[in-house]
Amino acid sequence: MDTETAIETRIKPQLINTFGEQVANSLLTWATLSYVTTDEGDRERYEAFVRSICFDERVVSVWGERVTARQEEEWKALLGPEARLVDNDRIKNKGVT
Amino acid sequence: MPLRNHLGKITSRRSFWILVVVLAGGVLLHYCTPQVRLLASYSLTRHAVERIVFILPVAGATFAFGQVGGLVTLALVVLIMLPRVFLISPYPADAFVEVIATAFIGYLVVWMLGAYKRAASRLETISAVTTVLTRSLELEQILNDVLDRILEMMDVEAGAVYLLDEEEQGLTLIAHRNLPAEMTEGVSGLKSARMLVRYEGLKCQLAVPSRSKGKINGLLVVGNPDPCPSLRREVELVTTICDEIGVVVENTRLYEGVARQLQIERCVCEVVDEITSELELDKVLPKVMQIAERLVGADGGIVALWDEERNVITYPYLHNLPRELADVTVFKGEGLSGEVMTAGRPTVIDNYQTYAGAVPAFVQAGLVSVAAVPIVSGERTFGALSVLSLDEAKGFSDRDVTILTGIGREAGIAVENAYLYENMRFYARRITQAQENERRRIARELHDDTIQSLIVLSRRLEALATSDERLPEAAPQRIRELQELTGGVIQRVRRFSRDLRPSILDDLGLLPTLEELTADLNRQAGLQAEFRVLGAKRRLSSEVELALFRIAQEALNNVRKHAQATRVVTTVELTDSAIHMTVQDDGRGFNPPTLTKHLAAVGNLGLIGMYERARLLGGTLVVESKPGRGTKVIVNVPI
Repeated sequence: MDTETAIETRIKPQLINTFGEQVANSLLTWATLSYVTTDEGDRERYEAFVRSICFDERVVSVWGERVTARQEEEWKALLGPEARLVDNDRIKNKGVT
Repeated sequence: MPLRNHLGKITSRRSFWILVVVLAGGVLLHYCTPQVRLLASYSLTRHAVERIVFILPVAGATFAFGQVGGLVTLALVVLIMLPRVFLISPYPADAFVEVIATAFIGYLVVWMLGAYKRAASRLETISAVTTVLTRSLELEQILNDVLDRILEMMDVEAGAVYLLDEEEQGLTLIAHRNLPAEMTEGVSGLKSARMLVRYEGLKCQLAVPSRSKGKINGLLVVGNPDPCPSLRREVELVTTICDEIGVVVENTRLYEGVARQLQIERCVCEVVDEITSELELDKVLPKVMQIAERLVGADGGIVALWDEERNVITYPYLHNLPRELADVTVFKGEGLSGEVMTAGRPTVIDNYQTYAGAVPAFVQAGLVSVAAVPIVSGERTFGALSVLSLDEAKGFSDRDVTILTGIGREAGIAVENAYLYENMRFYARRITQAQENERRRIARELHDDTIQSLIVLSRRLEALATSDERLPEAAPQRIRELQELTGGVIQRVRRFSRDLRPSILDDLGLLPTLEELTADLNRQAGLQAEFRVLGAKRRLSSEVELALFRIAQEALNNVRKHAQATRVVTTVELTDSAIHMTVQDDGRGFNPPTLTKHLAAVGNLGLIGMYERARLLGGTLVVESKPGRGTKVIVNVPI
């Protein structure tokens, strides 16, 4: 699964379902800012995205630390191991990013 | 081809040819013997001076063509100096050391000048960006201009500026250059930003958030299709620029906030003005609803009112919705308006189509998002004011709800005032009716009883005067005097009776009555009184005829008593939809009070009565007058 599909089809609906549209939009906004300002490959960006959501107080206060940590791992695993290889190859060829 | 273009650009510059000349001069100086002899006379025999002089073109090239230009020139200078070291110089070891020293100094010069140039260039960029940022308060325009300036000054090909939503609900793409359409059109700002940083077409890119007071409020992404290590070195510069952008964004939003607040205050004043200048719900509530829509940027509006008689909620005022919806009624507590009226607090529905309490007719009308507030005054709830979006969802914010709540309260006052006014009008009409009935009764009494008795008395006096009976000598004269006195009393009572309620008004209508009134004025006061009728003559409702007669009667009485006029013209114009009546004199005039309540203060109750009679018919009365310029009373009454 690629980053955008994971965000749009799994993370976003789950957040809207749990927190409502307003809080979900806010979480996704800050996560996207983390994503775009992380100066590495796509997987690292995606992980920063997931971390931003799972470190947010609003999420932890609703889900609790254990569930949030499990959710973080679950979301991170959505990309699969092959994504890292693809990303690393791309990073090598990309020059400065 | 690019190399040839690059060389072409370099050789086309005048500074290049100046450098060539300086270098040629240096070569001549370095290899020409007479010069050496000249220098030898100053005990300088080892060409050290020319070697140092060679630093000049190196510095010049660094200034003109940057560090690369300086290093190329330095390499050339070293190559120029080497033949002398190995082939001509009698002290090759010393000469070699001098060349190495010159190369080292040259490198230092190139490095220092390069650093200086970079710093100057950064300052120039910051200054240029600051100039753009401080030029106006139009955020979109500013950010577009800033992006252009950044791309131009940093030699970057593509870029985008995003702004963080004020309620942190997303990013909005404000400006972009040289990006594919799939990233800029039809996608949300968040997705666009993520796509942009993954974009393979920009191998080198930099994404920096803009901040104000440490809080992110936007994002700048710039990049080039080719690897560009120089961009990486400019992170600090871009961060500085982004911080400037962040401050400007915050300032602009503050400015917009103040402007918006001013607009809200103006609109609230407008609402208050409407409410205080109008007492009829049909005029006030549609305007209040449209102001509410304008303030929150809604597509349409609904005012729901509680109908106590029918025990239902009705929707009498709609904007941008089918008129048939005005016939919809729901029971108390039903629908969004009912819910808001029962709970007494505002409610926002993001998607009305899926709202459990939705009224089917409104679902069919295409309502998407709705914000509803109660229309209240004190403890009493009269209805609900709703604003809505059609076709697409609009998130009504807390600010919108606060504005609407304030307007709902003002609307509540308007409804209460209108109800009070309606009651007042009802009682005023009843009192006027009772007064008219009493006048009619007294007039009839005077006509049928008093005047008849006086006529009988007059006849008997006449009979006594002409009888054969023997009367005292002075009696006939006394009887004639009594007869004249009785005749005068009959005339005055008859006029009084007519003034109280002319029977001609009931029998023949307004126009003959006014004609008679005018003719009477002509006879009595020696005024030149004229009556004109425009439009097709016809009878009007007894209520309208009576009110217009009373207004004309009062106006003409005022002319007779106070105006000192020589001429008065009464005009009645009948149209299909209204009656326009004017009473205009050429008398001494006066300064009419600006407000009706001022009339009461000066005790001008006659004029107040005229105003009230016109208002009871839903019409208007205006008095135009100036000292020395006569007076004109203008009455407009809708039919």
